[in-house]
Amino acid sequence: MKEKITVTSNLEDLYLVRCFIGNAACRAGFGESETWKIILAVDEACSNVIRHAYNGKTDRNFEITVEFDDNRFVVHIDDAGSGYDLRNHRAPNLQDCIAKRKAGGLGIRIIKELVDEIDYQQVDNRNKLTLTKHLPLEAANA
Amino acid sequence: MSNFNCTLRTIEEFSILDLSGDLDAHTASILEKKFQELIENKSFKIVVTFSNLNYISSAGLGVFMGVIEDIRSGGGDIKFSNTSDNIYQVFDMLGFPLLYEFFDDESEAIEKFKTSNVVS
Repeated sequence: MKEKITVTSNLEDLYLVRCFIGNAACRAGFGESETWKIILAVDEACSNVIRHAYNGKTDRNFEITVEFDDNRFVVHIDDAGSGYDLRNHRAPNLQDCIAKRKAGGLGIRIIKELVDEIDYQQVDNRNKLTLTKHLPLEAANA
Repeated sequence: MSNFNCTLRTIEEFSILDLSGDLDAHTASILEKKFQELIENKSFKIVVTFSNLNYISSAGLGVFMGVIEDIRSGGGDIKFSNTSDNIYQVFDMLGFPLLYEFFDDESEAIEKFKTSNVVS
């Protein structure tokens, strides 16, 4: 199963991303709690694309592709903004964020916490972030 | 189209913010503005209720991080109530329960404000 959505770099479109991912995760066999985690991780990643890769410019777009089978749920996020490999990011702790009065980097911490695998590549000036979540055994055997 | 609402009620000297809808990177500025108004009005004793909030991301949590020092230095606090399991999970993941208090409902949060003010 493979599905794709193209959204604009307007933060308003995060809602469309969440609907798209939530729908696919349910059909892949995830329960409510796991679906919620996948939605949150992808929302955080897309929010980073808009705010950092595209630096808040609202007239760009990017693609989100979902592929899933009995074992894995894979989300590809493909944008043409400035690149950043979040795997190398050292997430701040909450007290640092309070001291600096901003939440920078906590989204990446959430992504790392909620998905099983993260891959990042730059290909032809495009950033390709891949987030993978393994399906629970009971869903795979259903 | 996501929707987010932030409604202010007052009980005695306490400000109650009822959140509903989706609090994400798009809507977080609405909440931030509401907190700035409360700080300007020196309303520092704040309870935020989450019973009608469907979704929260790190941008929403960032609002609470951004204002807490001003509110505490003004002699108040932000206390949270009625968080669903999904919402609480995000707070918990980032370590909020170590630095913020969570209550089952707003009356418990208000009671905590009152008992904290009692000088023994």
